[in-house]
Amino acid sequence: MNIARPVAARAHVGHSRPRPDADAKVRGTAPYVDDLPFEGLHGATIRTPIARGRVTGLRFGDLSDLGADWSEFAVVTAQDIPRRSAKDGVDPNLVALIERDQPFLVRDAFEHMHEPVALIAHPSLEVVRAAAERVEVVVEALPARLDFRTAGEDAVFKTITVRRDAGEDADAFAAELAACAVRVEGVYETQAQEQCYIEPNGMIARVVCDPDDLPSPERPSVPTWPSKPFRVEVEGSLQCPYYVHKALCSLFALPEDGVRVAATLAGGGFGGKEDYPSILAGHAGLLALKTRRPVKMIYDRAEDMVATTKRHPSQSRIVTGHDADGRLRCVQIDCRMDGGAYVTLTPVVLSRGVIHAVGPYEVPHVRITAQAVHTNTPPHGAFRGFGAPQTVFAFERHMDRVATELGLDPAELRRRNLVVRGGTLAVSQTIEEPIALEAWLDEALDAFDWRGRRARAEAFNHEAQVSGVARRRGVGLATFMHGAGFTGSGEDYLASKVKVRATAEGQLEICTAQTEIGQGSIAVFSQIAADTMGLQLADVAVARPDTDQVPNSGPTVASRTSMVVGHLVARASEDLLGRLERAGLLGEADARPEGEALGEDVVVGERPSAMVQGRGWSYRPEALRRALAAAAASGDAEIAEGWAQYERPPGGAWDDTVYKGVAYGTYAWANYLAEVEVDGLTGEVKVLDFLASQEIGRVLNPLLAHGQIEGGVVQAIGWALLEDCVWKDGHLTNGNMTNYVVPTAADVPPIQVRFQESPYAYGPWGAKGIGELPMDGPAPALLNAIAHATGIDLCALPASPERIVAAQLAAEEAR
Amino acid sequence: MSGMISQLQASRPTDLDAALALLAEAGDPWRPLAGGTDLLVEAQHGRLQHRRFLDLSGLQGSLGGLRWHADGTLEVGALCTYLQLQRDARVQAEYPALCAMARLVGAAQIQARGTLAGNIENASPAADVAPVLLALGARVRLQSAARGVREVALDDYWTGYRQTVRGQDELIVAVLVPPQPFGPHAQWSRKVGTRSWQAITKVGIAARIGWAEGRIVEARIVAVSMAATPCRVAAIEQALLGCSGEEPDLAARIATAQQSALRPLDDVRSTAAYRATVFGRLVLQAVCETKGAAGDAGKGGSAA
Ligand SMILES: Cc1cc2nc3c(=O)[nH]c(=O)nc-3n(C[C@H](O)[C@H](O)[C@H](O)COP(=O)(O)OP(=O)(O)OC[C@H]3O[C@@H](n4cnc5c(N)ncnc54)[C@H](O)[C@@H]3O)c2cc1C
Repeated sequence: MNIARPVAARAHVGHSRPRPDADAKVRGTAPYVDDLPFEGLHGATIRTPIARGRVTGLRFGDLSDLGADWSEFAVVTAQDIPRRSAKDGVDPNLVALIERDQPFLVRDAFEHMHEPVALIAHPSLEVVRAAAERVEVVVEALPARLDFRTAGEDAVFKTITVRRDAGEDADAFAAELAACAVRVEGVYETQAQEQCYIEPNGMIARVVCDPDDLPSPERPSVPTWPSKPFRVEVEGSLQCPYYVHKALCSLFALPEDGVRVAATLAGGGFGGKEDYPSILAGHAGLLALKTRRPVKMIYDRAEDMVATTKRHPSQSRIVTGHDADGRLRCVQIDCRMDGGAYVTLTPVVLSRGVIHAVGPYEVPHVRITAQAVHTNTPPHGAFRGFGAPQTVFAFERHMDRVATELGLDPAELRRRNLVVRGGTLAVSQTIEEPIALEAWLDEALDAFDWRGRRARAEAFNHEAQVSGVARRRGVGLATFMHGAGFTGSGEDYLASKVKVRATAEGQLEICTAQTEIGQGSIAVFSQIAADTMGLQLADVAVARPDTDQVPNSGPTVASRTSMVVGHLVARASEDLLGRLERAGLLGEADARPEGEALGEDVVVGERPSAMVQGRGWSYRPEALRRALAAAAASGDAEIAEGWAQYERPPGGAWDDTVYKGVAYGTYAWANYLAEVEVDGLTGEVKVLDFLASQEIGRVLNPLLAHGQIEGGVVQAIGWALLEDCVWKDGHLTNGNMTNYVVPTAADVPPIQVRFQESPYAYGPWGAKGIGELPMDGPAPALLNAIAHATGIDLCALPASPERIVAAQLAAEEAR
Repeated sequence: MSGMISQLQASRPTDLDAALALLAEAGDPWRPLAGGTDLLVEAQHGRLQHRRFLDLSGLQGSLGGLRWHADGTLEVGALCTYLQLQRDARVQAEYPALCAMARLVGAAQIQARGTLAGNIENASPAADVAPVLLALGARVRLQSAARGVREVALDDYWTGYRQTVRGQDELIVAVLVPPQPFGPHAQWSRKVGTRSWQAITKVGIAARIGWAEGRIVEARIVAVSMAATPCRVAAIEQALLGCSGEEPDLAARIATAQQSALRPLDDVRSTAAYRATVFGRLVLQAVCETKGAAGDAGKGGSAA
């Protein structure tokens, strides 16, 4: 039955509710994977010593000074993985991801330095670490390809093209471009970036097998592969339990219920724990299988930095053609990204980069060609922004150079080109949502006093020049957007599922595969479910992501957790409410008395989304608790569980073959502004002030939303000004926190965070994803500010003091 | 090749003679351990050669704190930390460059543990406070069981990349900083690090520039991260003597002098070109600002 007075309301959404996981983390009592009670073996990895070649042997050095002997160790190599093909006829040693080209362990040829060749395990962590350094991997070197910019076409493994109007035809495009009043060209480069999560990668694996397959006094050694069915269970620091699950099912040729993957608390991820944990879980699993004992593998910082993924380096050549008033007519972008040695996630990184490459601007003629190339460095992988920061940097830096060329205020140039409702993005996506980009731009400019600040900076510089002071100030802007959720039809393929469950205590438990990686998903899911059902936060819990317990709601990536999975949490909660009603556990008698006040913070009349009513507030909370407890007691999943599966919102589709259509269901829109001071003596840049203004649909939790934006801005300041991966012959030479320089609190300016809210009909209470957005804008805003301050037109990241001083010297030389 | 922490040995003597006796032992040498802020990093990087460690923390009585000699010399005990140093009002007044640099070492945690003696003995070309001590003319007091006490000027202390004159049996017991002939205004230092704090110096300078009647009468210019050790640059010091700071070709003169004396390197933190360019600019800045300060001080004096 449906009761007469549906009360859609929210009491938790929109408020700064603290994170339930925060207390233990702040106190240092929260157990991460390395803190869990553990009895078993410690594993270590033996890696390739050069960038490319063939492994011809392993030499195990003397351990006598360590008081150890190689007979005490378990050793696993690719030989332990039978070539016996997996279900789908592929070598099980190849990691199941987009393409299967990356081995868990090198069999023979290898493609990058620090590639895993062998695994060793020992009861003592100290001994295993010291022993690992005594194993020499004997190799035959092959020539390595190390520069993605100059790599030949044979290195290209993925190409994406976008064509719009005259862009469909090279000659027609050239003619359009030639007819433009103004043409501007530029080449923009970005570098690799290390995620630097606080907790390095770590995993524990256990194997459950038949007693017959266990070693015994009579049979001390057993074959690696058990003869009877077995199970591999891993727990560790990761973002995507079901990615790891898929990879392990393939590696061990096990059915889905033969593998269990559980997430431990994660000390950050930022994309760095999207694909790599599959490999580490495979390694720990192989050692556990060989020894039939639990095996723990924790990387130290140095190993994590040299061996795991980083942000893709990129190079973009941009040519734009404009009308005399600055309006964009033609855009041509040729973009390359360095995929590293294996395909991993690069095609989708490239894709996101391409879709964001022209920003929130309306351009009639577009021609984009993007390539991913192989080099002999560790594969580049997911990192907050996932390709977009690279192309946004290029285009937003370019826009400022166009403004300079035209003598226009950079904000004015952008204003003249912003897409409006009903307008079309470069990938031919028509914007149906109500947007007001011009008003949002103005709001941000006013809040930062753009004109006043620019004028004051210029006056300061004039004064400084006259008095011989070397400091210069400048103010810069970047305008951009970020699409949330998987690209194109990605969410359809994922077909994510969420379950909520009544508990015997009368609580609601939310079961998703989303991991809490610092973004606040536990708090936000709880708020969403509580408001959909009409519960207090204390009545809602979030289950540990464990593939034995939670459905596959997709990976914790792509700014999709709150928006896509959060929406499923609301729908599943409503599904359960309906089941409770239909089972007669909630009825008219449980309804809130008409006119009863709901409480101070409660906003009445707000539905969670176009697909969810959110009638929960029509019931008294104690009645809901009673109904939940009764549903759990019934033992009937039909009554005690609510489910939801992803459904594509109405509207157009995405066509992957021509790169046209609805690339993302929605976008968050943003304007970031920065003021910097450059010390002309040393080239050091100090960020004086920063404003991050964005439209994000609905702010679910202001405190956490501020945290996401501030954190992203800081991470992007690092990328823009400080962080650089220094490679030599395919080896990362600054693979430590001493020489890989991330910003500290002292490098961070005041950050003013502002939100506009234009609710998205298919996000929970209108929310859009925001996790990656703040990574996109700071780099171009900062380099634009540096250009304003000094006239130095840097087009490559990072804007290091070395680059700035080199540019000064080059300018002096030219004079 | 890294050993294992469990194979290491440590001893914590509580009087100086016992410590010196251990250092004099034959066999596996003992390595002094003060704040540990360099040593533990070495251990973490697997570069530690030693297996026996002499924990100095029990020697606060003989090696801790600061003392002032009658002639105005500052004696910094080997266990004196950056924090203790920078909190001392007289040090602040008389050795402002020393305090300013102590405040820029690492961040608060490192300043609370790290010692000046450790900074000197670690002999890093990128050290921050040891170069200031060199500019101020400091001496290192070493003591051993066999030879007793000797003093070595910092000018002569570093013999090569991460090498010092200290014998294996010797302990630094104190650092002696003489009274400054040109007062606080002649002291100038600047660190250009990889970021604002917790930064390793890419290029830096520590200087003492004495002025009289608008001319430079003494110049001690120490270059940081420009050579295998922090070092005085005699060619620049000579070029500066007698200058007024107004010479139009001063920058060129500094550059020429610098070229003959310093060959900075490209490394993981910076480039040779950057170091060379910026160091020259820092010398010029030191000249201008000490001149300004000397002038202001003079004015202040006459007004009083
Ligand atoms: C995060 C971090 C940031 C840092 N930042 C800076 C910085 O900004 N600037 C800078 O200059 N340094 C920096 N350092 C390096 C270090 O803190 C300093 O060099 C510090 O002064 C070392 O002192 P300590 O007492 O910790 O030395 P220890 O590590 O205990 O010892 C250093 C060396 O000196 C020897 N030694 C110590 N005491 C004696 C003694 N009495 N007699 C003989 N030998 C002795 C030891 O055997 C060892 O070789 C940093 C270190 C860290 C970890």
